[in-house]
Amino acid sequence: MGKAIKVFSIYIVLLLLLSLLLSKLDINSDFHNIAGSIYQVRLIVIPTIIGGIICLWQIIPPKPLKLFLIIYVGLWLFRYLFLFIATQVEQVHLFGKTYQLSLIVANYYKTASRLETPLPFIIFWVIYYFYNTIDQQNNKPTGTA
Amino acid sequence: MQATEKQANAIFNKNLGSFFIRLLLVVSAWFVLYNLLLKPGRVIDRPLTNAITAASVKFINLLPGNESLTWVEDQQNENRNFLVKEGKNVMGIMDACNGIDLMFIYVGVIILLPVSAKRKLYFSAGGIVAIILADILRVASLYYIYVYYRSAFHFSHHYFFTILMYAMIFYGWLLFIKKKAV
Repeated sequence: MGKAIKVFSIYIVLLLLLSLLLSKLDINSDFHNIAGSIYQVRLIVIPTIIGGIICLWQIIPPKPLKLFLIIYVGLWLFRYLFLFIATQVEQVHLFGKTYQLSLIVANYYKTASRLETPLPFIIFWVIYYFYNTIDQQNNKPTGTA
Repeated sequence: MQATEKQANAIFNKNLGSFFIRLLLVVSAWFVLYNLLLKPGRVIDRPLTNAITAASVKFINLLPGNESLTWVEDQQNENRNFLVKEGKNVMGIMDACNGIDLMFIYVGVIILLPVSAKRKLYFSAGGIVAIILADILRVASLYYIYVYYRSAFHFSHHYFFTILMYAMIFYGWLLFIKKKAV
């Protein structure tokens, strides 16, 4: 646990310094055309993701890291797929009300699912550590003959 | 030995996989419930944003030189409050700044872990109080940054305090799982 705290602390401090640098240089975000839609991408997202993967690589074995990467990449692909579908559909009429699907999906990814933040890496390590500790305790010899 | 390793791997994958599926379902259910039922009428947002605004104003007024700071609810944009100084609106505090989504993510992880209900309750309540207190400090700090060092406001608002909030949540989860994994 000690190593993980150290690694995540360095990660957070580096992210703060880097975001300060990007802010000073006034290069906070960039725009990308993905499947005909313009998306704003904050540049800090790139070091957040690379740094988070390096952190996990330092503190968890290759197998769970592989599992994390599969889930994480899958969630990003779903994100852009949903955003693309929502942009195409635009509005949904349900129970006499009109819902702006593109806004709802964008809001979901901003508030509920925070893929572009350090949270997915932190949550994965917390859960991995929790279940790994249980596993170790379950497999520990009881000391009886 | 081989069987034990196999079993350990199986337990690990099952637990981890099942946890993330449940987390995804709980967070999605919360999002739908919140946006359909709670957000339109500001059932939680209004009292929470008002409480954080009022506490931030009180905190700022405790410091020398700011005794006259007050706050009002924005009449045009309903999900916003303003910090007011000498009759002028200085800085807006939106519902999105009240930290409710962070509270839910924090509590969501805690309630899904197989730990005693008492410990979950203790850490959930403690965590929510800590997030609210941190939010009050964040708003007060942002006010000072906005008034005295505006060029740093964007960085502070979007990055610095956001990352600090994540660090705090991480620490809360660490305390929760530390020495209490079963």
